[in-house]
Amino acid sequence: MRIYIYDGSFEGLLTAIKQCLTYNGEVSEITTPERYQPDLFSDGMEIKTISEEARKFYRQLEGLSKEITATISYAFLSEQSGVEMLIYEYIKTVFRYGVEVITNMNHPAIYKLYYLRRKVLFEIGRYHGFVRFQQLPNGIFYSPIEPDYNIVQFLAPHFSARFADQRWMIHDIRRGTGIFYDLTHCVYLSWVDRNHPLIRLVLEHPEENALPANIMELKYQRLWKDYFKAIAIQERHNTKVQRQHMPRRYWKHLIEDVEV
Amino acid sequence: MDILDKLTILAAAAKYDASCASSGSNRQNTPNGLGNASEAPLGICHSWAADGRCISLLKLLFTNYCIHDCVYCINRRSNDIPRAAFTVNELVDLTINFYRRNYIEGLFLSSGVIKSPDYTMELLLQVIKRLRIEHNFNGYIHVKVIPGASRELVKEVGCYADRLSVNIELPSEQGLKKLAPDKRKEDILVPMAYIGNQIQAFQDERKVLRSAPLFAPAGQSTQMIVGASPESDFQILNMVEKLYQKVRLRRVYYSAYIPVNPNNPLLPTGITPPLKRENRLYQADWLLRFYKFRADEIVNSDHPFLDTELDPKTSWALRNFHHFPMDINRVDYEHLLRIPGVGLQSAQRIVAARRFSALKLTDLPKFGVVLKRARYFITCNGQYLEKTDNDIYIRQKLLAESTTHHEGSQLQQLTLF
Ligand code: SF4
Repeated sequence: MRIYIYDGSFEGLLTAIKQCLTYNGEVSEITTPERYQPDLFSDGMEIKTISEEARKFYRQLEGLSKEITATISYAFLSEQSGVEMLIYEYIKTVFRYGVEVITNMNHPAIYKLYYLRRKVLFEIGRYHGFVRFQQLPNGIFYSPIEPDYNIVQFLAPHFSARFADQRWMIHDIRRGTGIFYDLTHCVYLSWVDRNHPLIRLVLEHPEENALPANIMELKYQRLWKDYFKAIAIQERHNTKVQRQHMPRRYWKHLIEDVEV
Repeated sequence: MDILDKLTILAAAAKYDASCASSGSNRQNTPNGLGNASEAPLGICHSWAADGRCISLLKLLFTNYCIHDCVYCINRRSNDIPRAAFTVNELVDLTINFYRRNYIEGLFLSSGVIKSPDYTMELLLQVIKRLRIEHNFNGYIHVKVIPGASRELVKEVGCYADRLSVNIELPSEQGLKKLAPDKRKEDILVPMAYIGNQIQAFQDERKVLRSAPLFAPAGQSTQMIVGASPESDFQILNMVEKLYQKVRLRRVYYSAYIPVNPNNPLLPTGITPPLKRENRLYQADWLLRFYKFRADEIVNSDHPFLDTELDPKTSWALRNFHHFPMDINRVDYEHLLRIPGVGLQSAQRIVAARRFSALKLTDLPKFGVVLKRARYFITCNGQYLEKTDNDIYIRQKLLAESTTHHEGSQLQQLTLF
C-alpha cells in the first residue's frame, strides 16, 4: 500500500494520478505534505510535479471528453478532504469502462464527483450575483469575497464579458488570491503577486473597512440599502426562504443590510 | 424631492409586480459596452428581500401618479398617498451605477399613467433609449407596456427592451370590468397579440440574417392577480394554457392579492394573501410548460380548484391511480415525468443510468427522486416500496410527513460522503 504525496497543485495531482495508474499495489491516499500522516502499513512516496507530463495527461483526458476535465477541475477546487482519491477513482473508472460511463449517475465514483462539481458550480453561480463592487477613489471597482471553494478564477469570464468598460478586481481575501481586469485582459493574481504595481493599492487595504470611499460611492451604497428595504412586501414576510437562498456567511460583503 | 425619497416611494410602489426574471435574453455585450444579458440563460439573482423574493432587476415605477382608478391598486387616483416621479436622467443614472456595482441584472420599468398612455410610454422609451444608445448598456431591460399605448411606440420599445409585458391583471373580463373600469380587454389582448407576432417576425428574420435587429429577445410575459375576484383555478389555467399556445407567452406570473385598499366593497375583505394558492398555480404552470400536462388534466369542472394540501402532480396521480404503479426501468421519459416526486432532471438521469444496468429502488435518491412522494407510485423489477392503492391513506401519509419535514428537505439531506 502506498500514500502519494504531491505539492497541492492541480498539475501535481495529475502527475501523481498518472503514476498511481501504473502502480500495481493499492493506493491508500493521495495527499499533500501538510496533511500527510505516515501510517504503519503504507509507504509514503513523494511525487515531483512534472508540468509537461501533467499537461499531456490533461489533454489526453480532454480528448476523451471535455466533461471529464471540467468535472475534475471544478471538483479539485472544492478543496474538500479526500477529493484527490475521488478524482483518482473517477479517472480509473473512465479508463476501465470507457467514456460513456460519465453519464451513469449510478456509479459511486461518477456521482460523487458530479455532485462535488455541482456544488462548486453552484457557488460560482451564486457569486455572479453576490459580488458587490465598491468604486475606489482611483476609479477601480473592487469586491472582496470569501467563498467556500477556491473559485475566484472561474469568475473571470462572466465578469470580463459584462464589465468590459471598467477596471475591476475581485479579491478572495481568505485565500489571498484575486482577478484583475484592466480593460483588455483579466489576470489571475496569487498572493505572491502582491507587489504587482497595479494592485498594490487595493491589497494594501485588504480589510474592506479600511477601503477608502468617496461621497458618490457612499451615495449609491445608501440608495441600494434603501431600495433593498423598500422592495420587500411586509404582508409576505419570509426570512426563512431569504436565508435559504442567502446563507448568513455571505452577508458580510453584501452592501445591503440583510438583517433589519 | 431628493433621489432617496423618490427611490423609496417608487420602489415600494413597484413591489407588487411579481416578475423579476432576468432570463432568456441573447443580448451580448458590444465592444466597450457595459453589460451582458446573454450570459445567464436562467437569470441571476443578486439578493433576496425580506419577503424571500429574489432581487434581480431594479424594479421601479417611473411615477406613481396615475389617471386611472383600478380598485385593487395602491397607486389608484383616489388614494391619498405620497407621489413622486423620476426624471429620465435620474433613472438612467441609478440603473448604470447599480449595474456597475453588480447590484442588479438590469432594469424593470413600469409606470402609473400620466396624461395619456402614449405620453407615459414615451417617457419609458426615452429612458431605455438613453441606456442603450448613450451608455452602450447591454444589461437586461424589462418594460411594462402601458395599456392603450400606440402600436408604433410599442414597437419601438420592443427594439430596445429584452422583455415586454402587458399585465392581464384579472383572470376574466367581468373581473376587469368591475375592478379596472378604465382598462378594456382589447387594450390588453391586442398589444399582447401584436407583440407576439412581432417577436415571431423578428425571430424569423434573424434565422435568415444573423445581424438582424433584436425585438424583445427574452419574449413577453404577463401577470394576474389571484384572489381579488372569484375566478376558479380551472378558469385561470385554461386561460393561461391558451396564452402559452396562442400568444406564445414566455411566462405567466401569479400574484396573490394583497388587500392594499381596505374597506372597498368591491373587494374581498379580511383575507390574508392566498400565498398557498399562488404557489400551487406556479406548480401547475410548470406542469403545463415542462411536464406536458394539459390544463384539463390538472383541474376540471369537478375539481375547479387546485388542491392546496398536495402539489398538483400528486393530486392528479391520486385521481388517476389506474396509470400506476409505473416501472422505473421500463416506462419512457414522458411517463417518468408523470410520477410524483420525479423532476425533469431526475427523469433524465434515470433514463441515462438505466442504459448501463437495471436500477434498484435504493438507487433512486441519488437521482434526486423524492421517495417520500414517489414511493406509492413506482415499482422496480416487480418490487414495491409500499404497495397500496388506497388514495385516502396515501393522502394522510403525505400530509403527516409534510408537517414534519418541509418540502424538498430530502434533496438537501442528500450528502456526498
Ligand atoms: S393603471 Fe396601473 S397604476 Fe394606474 S391605477 Fe391602474 S393598475 Fe394602478
